[in-house]
Amino acid sequence: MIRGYFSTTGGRNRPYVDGVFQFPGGVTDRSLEVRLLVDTGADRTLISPRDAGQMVRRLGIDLAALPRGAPGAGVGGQADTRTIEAVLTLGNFSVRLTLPILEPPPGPLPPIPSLLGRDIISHFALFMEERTNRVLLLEPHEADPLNIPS
Amino acid sequence: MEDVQAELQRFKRDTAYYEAHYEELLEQYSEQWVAIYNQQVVGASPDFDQLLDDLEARGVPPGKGLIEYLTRKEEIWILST
Repeated sequence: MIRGYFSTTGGRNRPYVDGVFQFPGGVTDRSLEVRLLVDTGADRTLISPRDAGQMVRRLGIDLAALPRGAPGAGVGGQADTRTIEAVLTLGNFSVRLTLPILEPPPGPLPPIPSLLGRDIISHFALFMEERTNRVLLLEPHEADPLNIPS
Repeated sequence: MEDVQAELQRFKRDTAYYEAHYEELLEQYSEQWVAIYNQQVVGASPDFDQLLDDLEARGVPPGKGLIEYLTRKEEIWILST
């Protein structure tokens, strides 16, 4: 079971899980610690512009040298993406993925966090209850015995 | 290289610190980016790039710790990808 939590940002309570992205292939230890917003509307897990800024400025990853990905489409429009091979660790769960990165726009960075999308959420049964501050990602062997009606 | 499980556990302690001290952090660093590493505030700035420069100058390991923007302004996020 992976435990997340609700956190208040910008006056709103939102569900998060903590994770670590590792970027294999570098000559140095390149990993990024992130709080991921649990977003069941997101098709893919992705790195937000602010976390991309950390990758560029502090991990020395050249976004321009990375392959272009499919554009990210949101309510506010489209954004260009790059992709990088990564390993995401959440609790005892690790998965290799091709990770889209939203390219930072010019000017001030939006405070939007990176997203945990359905490509990862779909490995689990997701339970969220704001009243009790519970965000749980249950593996199949944990969810099946609950016999939740289909 | 820090073991990834040890790294994740340390990061969880940093996010727990942020949650436990959210109100006082908001009071002190409103409308700023704040960085927390090893359960301590290690930098704060209204400018994200300036904060990253400060973290490098202070020897905070790259990619480690929590960076959050603290604001009293209510925001509605409608996201999808």
